[in-house]
Amino acid sequence: MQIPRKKADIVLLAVLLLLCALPLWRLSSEKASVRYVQITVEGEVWRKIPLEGLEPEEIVISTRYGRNVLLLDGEGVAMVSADCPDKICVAGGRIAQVGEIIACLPHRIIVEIRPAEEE
Amino acid sequence: MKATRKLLYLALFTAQSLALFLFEGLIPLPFTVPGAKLGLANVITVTALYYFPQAKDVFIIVLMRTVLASFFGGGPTVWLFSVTGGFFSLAVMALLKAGGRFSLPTVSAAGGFAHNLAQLAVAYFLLDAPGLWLYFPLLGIAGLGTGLLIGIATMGVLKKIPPWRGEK
Repeated sequence: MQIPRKKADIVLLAVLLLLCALPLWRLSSEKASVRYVQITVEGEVWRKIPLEGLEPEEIVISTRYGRNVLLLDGEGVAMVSADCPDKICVAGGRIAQVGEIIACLPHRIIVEIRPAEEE
Repeated sequence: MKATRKLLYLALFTAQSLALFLFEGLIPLPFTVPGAKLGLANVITVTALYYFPQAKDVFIIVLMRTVLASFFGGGPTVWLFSVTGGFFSLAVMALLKAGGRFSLPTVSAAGGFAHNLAQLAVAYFLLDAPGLWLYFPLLGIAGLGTGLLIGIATMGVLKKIPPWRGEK
């Protein structure tokens, strides 16, 4: 077994590792207490729902690809069921922070929590 | 005769990588990051890259693997992801290997990184959601890590098989 330890190897691996951290600075700059949930279906914004004071509510998203069920309340949002094969969106659990995202790629659905200022 | 040998080896590599791909699907993994996986089939991709004299032969293996794999489940959308990730990753690895400065596990790690980068880019263009890039820190590191492991495994494989004796 041979671990790379030439200088060129280490430089390249370090550069790639640093590139991984690139999207993080944007996340940390977005802090907001007033949030809304944006649901995007096939690249188009389908609904925007303010989270604050929201009673628990189920939202069914039916697309030509399948059916997803979202559960929203005043604190956050979770995908509770999906009829896609991999169920990654359900396994990802609940999101509550601005910038967090639930993606269901087979059904082309993106659920994001955004700060209210953008509206 | 020699063309037949090459055809046979390409078929063999394709079959092996498809088998590894399906085998990996049977192992449940605790990852909840969409798109993060081990990528066992890439042991064959990297082995082929260092085995066949020309990178274009390896593109054939990757193309056939992704097409056949999509028959087993996934369909066109998933195929688009796997072929884009596979081709971009292979192109990056072929360039780095041709440069001659990097050792095999590093080339493989960069390939894993490139694979996840390309898949995320496809998802971004398909869904038009910039928020998806927040997955990138995890996916990038996962690609580097799995790529490194795949590279180390590949070195073990290359030691066991006789060198290519067919046409160039």
